[in-house]
Amino acid sequence: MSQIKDQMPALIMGGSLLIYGLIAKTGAMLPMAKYLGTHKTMDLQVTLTLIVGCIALVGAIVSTTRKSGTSNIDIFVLRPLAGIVFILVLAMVIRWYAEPLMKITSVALQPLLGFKIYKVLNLNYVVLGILVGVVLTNTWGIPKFAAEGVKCARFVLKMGVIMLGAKYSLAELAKLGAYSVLLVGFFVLGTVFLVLWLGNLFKQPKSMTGVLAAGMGVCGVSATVAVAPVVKAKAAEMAYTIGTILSFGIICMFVFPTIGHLANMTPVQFGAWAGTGILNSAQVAAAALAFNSVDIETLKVAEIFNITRVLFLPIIVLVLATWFGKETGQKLTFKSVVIDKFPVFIIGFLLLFFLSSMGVFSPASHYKGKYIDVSYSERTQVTPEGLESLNSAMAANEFSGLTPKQLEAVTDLVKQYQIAGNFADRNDKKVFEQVGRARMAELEGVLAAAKGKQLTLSADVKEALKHAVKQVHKESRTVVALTDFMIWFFAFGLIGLGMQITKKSITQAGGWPIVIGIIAGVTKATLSFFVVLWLIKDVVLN
Amino acid sequence: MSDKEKKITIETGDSGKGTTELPASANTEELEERALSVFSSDRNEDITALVLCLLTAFLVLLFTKWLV
Amino acid sequence: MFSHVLLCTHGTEGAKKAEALVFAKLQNAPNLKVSVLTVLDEDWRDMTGDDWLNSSKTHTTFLDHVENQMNEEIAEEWQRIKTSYPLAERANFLQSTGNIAKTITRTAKKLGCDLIVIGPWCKPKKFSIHSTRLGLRDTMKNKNLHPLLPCPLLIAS
Repeated sequence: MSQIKDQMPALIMGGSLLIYGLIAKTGAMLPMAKYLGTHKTMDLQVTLTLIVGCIALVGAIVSTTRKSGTSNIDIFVLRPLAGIVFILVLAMVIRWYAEPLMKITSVALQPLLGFKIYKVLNLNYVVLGILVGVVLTNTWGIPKFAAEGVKCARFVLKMGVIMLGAKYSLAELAKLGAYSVLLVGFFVLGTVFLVLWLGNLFKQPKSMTGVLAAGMGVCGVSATVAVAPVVKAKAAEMAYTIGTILSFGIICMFVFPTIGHLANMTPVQFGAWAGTGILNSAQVAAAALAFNSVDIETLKVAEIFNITRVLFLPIIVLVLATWFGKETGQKLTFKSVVIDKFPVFIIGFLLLFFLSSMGVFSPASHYKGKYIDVSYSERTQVTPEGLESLNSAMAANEFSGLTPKQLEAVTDLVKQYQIAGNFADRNDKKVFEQVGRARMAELEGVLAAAKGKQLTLSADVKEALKHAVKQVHKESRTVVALTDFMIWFFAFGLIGLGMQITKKSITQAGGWPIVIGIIAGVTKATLSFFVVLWLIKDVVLN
Repeated sequence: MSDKEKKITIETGDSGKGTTELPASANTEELEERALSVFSSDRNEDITALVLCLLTAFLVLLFTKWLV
Repeated sequence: MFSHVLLCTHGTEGAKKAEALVFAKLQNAPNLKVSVLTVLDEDWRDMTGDDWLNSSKTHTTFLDHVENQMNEEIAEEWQRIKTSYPLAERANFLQSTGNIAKTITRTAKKLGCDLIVIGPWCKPKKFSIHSTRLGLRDTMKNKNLHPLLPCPLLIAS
């Protein structure tokens, strides 16, 4: 009986998800979804709720019928399941209801306030998720049944990072890697020495400046945790430092994206800035997704910076251990710090990157996730209206300013209704595709010229050309699906990590660490802002 | 505490090889609460994450590329 | 009157008043048993915040370090009590981790104490960077303690 009682939350969640999924399947929710602007995700909502609901129910039923033991199934599946479903339900509610409602309310409140709340605070689903996690854990506490599942957050976030590996091209990784090593290296070492110097200036104990230097310099709480035993930090010093870092990080999470938008930063610039300036690595991911939650360009950049920082951490531990002197009593060797602690998930990240570079996830002719399909297909044809405006433009000699090649491409588009190679070459795929792509490039040239006012085309014609070009750009479904999975992993991980930020750990900020920490943190954020704007101008991601 | 007290061995350590001996009477509940992960070591956690990712990728490939 | 007193202290100004009161009374009551309890708030376990990069080994090392550090600080605290009140040698010193109110009452029940003595709730001092607050000096709201009490509570002031 008690087993059924224990499984009640999972049963209820699973049942509700199933009911929701079934109702959504009938289409009864479409009007509401349209109001919220989530109708395009309706299919996904049905699939996800049904799958998760079924898993939750099956898991709960299995748990009630068998005695809880210490087998792998118990530890890794049955016990955390309720908590995992709980976080997933939170993520779904936030993504499909809380975020759209937030947008609608802030638009409604705009006349009253003069600004849109969600725009200023960047309240998208990622930030909302973290906030919900933080609020939940500090008010009612994490429900007991969910505790085991919440422990999976870290693991799922790692999965997100590994999956992200599939999104880079070699050129991007090389370029971003170079930037990140440069920026992170400079700012990490800079901040560490700044804090050590400030600590010296204010005559603070070595142990305190040691933890603070690591925390402010590398990756926040993670670095503090790694360094504290090495420099023998006192309890109060650790409390002050961690409190300072957590509160500083949470403020950064809101302030950075807003400043980034105000300064008109590109995704790459913002990712680099967040990756350098924000302390806690979870908050870097959150800020990157807050800046741009739809596509993941910013996240891509920020995560490269994050990974670089993680790799810098052992170096800093070694540096601080040396600086602290021989009093540590702990023997630190290069092997024990660097090799034994090398995070294996980064190898996973590289493996997925490698697989993706080999073209595993994309059709053979892909280009950075998108590929061009100039084969004959009804789907890629221009609309009848588009064809009509093209025809009349032809007749009115509107294309007189085009180069012969461009004109040929337009003529062929009118002839074949779509961008394609020559009909005669259709059996020689290579030639056919080459010709088709060349035509597409010419049409893009026409559009660029029209945009640059070197050509005058009517709006209808431009629309028709644009549509034709767009139709042959297909995004690989594999890449789209992988990206979706990755975003859910990140959302899950960040909500779970939000649940580990307690009020107590934030409010214990104080003492000298808060003074030195704010000086160092603000200096680093400001300096890196200008350096990023000055240094990073040209990286284009696709 | 007597020397005869039973000891239990738990896995800790980074590479999944480190172990710690604890008296059987130790408060294992507290230890469990301390753990931030359901995995016994980080290598296990990372490798499981990687395997699950590859599995996801495989399934995605199966349904979006190879079976289509 | 009372046979076993549980003195809860963690070295704040308020708690010191409680210490003074108990050990002054001890002089007149040779048979009074005194247990000194120092409670470590369970929230210390959440100190690592949202760290997700460190290995569990690093985590354990860190938490062990925190615990050792706390134990040292508590030992210093007890040493201070023993030097300021010679009678404290007679007392029984205990340390425990958990929710403060719950731990106090649970310990009182377990030891069969018939009086709990704590210091008054001090208003937290205004923020100061010269604050000497040690990590273990936590405060608790009395309203959390009162419903749980198994025996009379004396607040020294």
